[in-house]
Amino acid sequence: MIAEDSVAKEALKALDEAILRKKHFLLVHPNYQEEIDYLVKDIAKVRQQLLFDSFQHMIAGKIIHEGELLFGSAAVFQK
Amino acid sequence: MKSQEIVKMLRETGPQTGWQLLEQTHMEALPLWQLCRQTPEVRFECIGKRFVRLDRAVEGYARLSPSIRREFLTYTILGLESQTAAIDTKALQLRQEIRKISQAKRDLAREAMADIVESLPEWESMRNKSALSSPEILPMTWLTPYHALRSVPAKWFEARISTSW
Repeated sequence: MIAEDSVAKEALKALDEAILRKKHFLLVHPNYQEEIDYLVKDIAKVRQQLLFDSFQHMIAGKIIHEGELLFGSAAVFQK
Repeated sequence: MKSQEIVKMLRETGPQTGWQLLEQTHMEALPLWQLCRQTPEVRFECIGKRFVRLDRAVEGYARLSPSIRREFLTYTILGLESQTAAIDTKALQLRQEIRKISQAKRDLAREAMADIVESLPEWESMRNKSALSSPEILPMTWLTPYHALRSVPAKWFEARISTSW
């Protein structure tokens, strides 16, 4: 999940915790047993990762490049 | 097991995925793949594509995915040259099944994100400030190296540990 830099860190933290709870629910619920892989980050971090200057940044850059819009702002996604 | 036994099996059962053939023959995957490859009568119909994955353990960091083993077991229909129509039908069914699973995963992920945002009043108001992007969720088409959702019980897609991104 990528958010604009203007979003408060506390809000991102609350979102992260909510996604984690949902992840746990979907993983253990017998009707789902699905796992969401996710990370919450802001655009500043994305910019760093797109420098493509380390293996971890390469992984991140590749995933961001290949990601598709799932939910939320198309405008932020286009950035 | 010999080539002719594979041919006989496919003649009797019709086209099979690598997994189905594995279960019938009780062979290990790679010897079975090798045997099928060495049997001229056996036709391979692979569905989907190969993708580059970044892997620190590989020189140059790049490797193709899926592996030969997984492609053979999960995404390959094996049949005889005389079973072309049946192979095509089974390949189509497999593609449709994979597409259906992918869509179900996407829908679940989208619904989960919507539920989460609704549960956070401060986020509802900021909805347009964020983009929840998912790497394509396609164990089904192995289109992307990372999936936002992994199906735990489904044997189509081997569980994969995601590195931090």
